[in-house]
Amino acid sequence: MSSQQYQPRPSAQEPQQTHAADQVSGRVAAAWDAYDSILDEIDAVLEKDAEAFVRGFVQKGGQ
Amino acid sequence: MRIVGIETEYGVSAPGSELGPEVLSELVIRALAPVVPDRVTVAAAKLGPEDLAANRVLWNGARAYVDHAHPEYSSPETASPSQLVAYDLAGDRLFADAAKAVTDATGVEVRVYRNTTDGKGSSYGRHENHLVSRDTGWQKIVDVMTGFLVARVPLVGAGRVGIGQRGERPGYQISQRADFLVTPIGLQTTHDRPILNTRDEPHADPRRWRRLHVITGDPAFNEVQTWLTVGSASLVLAATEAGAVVPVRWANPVLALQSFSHDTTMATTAETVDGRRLTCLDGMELYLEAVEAFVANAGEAWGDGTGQLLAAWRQLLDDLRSEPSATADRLDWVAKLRLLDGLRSRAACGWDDHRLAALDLLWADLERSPAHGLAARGASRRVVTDDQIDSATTEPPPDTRAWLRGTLVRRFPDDVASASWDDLLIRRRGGRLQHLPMPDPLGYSRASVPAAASCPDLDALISSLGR
Repeated sequence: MSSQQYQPRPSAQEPQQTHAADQVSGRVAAAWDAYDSILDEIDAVLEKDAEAFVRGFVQKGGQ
Repeated sequence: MRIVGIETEYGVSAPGSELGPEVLSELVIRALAPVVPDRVTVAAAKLGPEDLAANRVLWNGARAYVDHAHPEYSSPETASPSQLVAYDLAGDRLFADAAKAVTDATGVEVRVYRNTTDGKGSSYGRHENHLVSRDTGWQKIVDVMTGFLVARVPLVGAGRVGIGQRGERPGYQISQRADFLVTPIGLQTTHDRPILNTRDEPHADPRRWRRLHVITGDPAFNEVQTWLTVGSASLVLAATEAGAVVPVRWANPVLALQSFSHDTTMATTAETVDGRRLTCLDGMELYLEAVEAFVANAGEAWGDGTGQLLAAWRQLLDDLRSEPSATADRLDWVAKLRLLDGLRSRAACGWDDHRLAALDLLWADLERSPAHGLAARGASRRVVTDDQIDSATTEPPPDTRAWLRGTLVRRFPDDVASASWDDLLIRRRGGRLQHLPMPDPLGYSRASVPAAASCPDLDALISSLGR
């Protein structure tokens, strides 16, 4: 998504900047906590061998 | 009352085991509640090619079967889009429980997926079904709906890592199905898939009814997405029946749909036959305006549910234009993109990193999806309650023929020899088999056959129906 529509949280390495991120509404910012908390746990849930996991998911064509 | 239903072909796998999707699909269907647990173990031990093609009618009036190596849930006929949301998610509950039962019985971990592609070139479907009056001109339906199905991409997409049928180009797109829709109109569903499917199998009196079979959407966890997907199409069809919609005629519908899917900023325009260039949101706006005017002019004919749906559709469209990230609480493709962007940023990787594809797949896992975590944290808007979904796993919708089907299958399992959408084969006293045709989807509802819920004698009930 273009930077106008979505601003990821700045990482620790990036200097804090005032830009379009400040225009994102409060309700969007509040929801980000849920996503960050899911991402904090994601390493435990994602397969250790992501490549093998993805390669192993093979389906037949359906309708 | 506009009857709607959804058929969902699930993905199924047992990571680390040799069992293929055909066998796994059979085991899952056989393990659907209600079932005697022993049957699952027996099935797992003895399943051979001659045992395939399980086919079940469930207590909630749904049908469950194996279709092209996928376990498929075909919801009962429902009377409203919000009711359908409950029955759609009831399918997830039933299939997730069945997968667990197979896992417990066999020691093989079975996973079921709410998605429509394996990212390697196979596509399977989530089909919406709309009951439409046979009196409505077919060409009118074709023209109006083709334009709508192209424009509605951001409403119906569940998101996909990878662009192209095999995901050969790194990136993310809105719709899982888009790259597999290769012709504007056609009969096929397993290849040469069309935007507008011409299948004409109403499973009802064909002189009165047509069933429009829509194969272009993705299965989403977000309740609002399913509600608006089904409800918007239902209202567009109602407005079409009244001649109240001017179709948007894309110059190249397939190219337009795919280019809309490939642009998550939704800024891409596509040409119409009259020389305009419209974005997908522009196209959706034209259909929404037509439906809003149609409903306003119809006065009291449409109830509160429709008003709420239109308001939600309007708000979603406004948000997609002005603050798309805010729609993460309603649309799977936006929520999933938010997670993927977060993972991409933390891992400092590109779209071709396998972890992103793994998260895409995890999103679809009925048991493990992050969608459930987001819902638990209040990050998704709801349309139905958990209790409603739970009830929908065992109780049929009261206002359609699903009610009689589900009620009799539950109460008299040994005397319903078989059940299809528009027919029951009943074992009468003395052992004779007799058909009970149900050509009207609105017939044999709880209001018309209340005795079916309590009568001690099926034979007497059938006689009382004049058969």
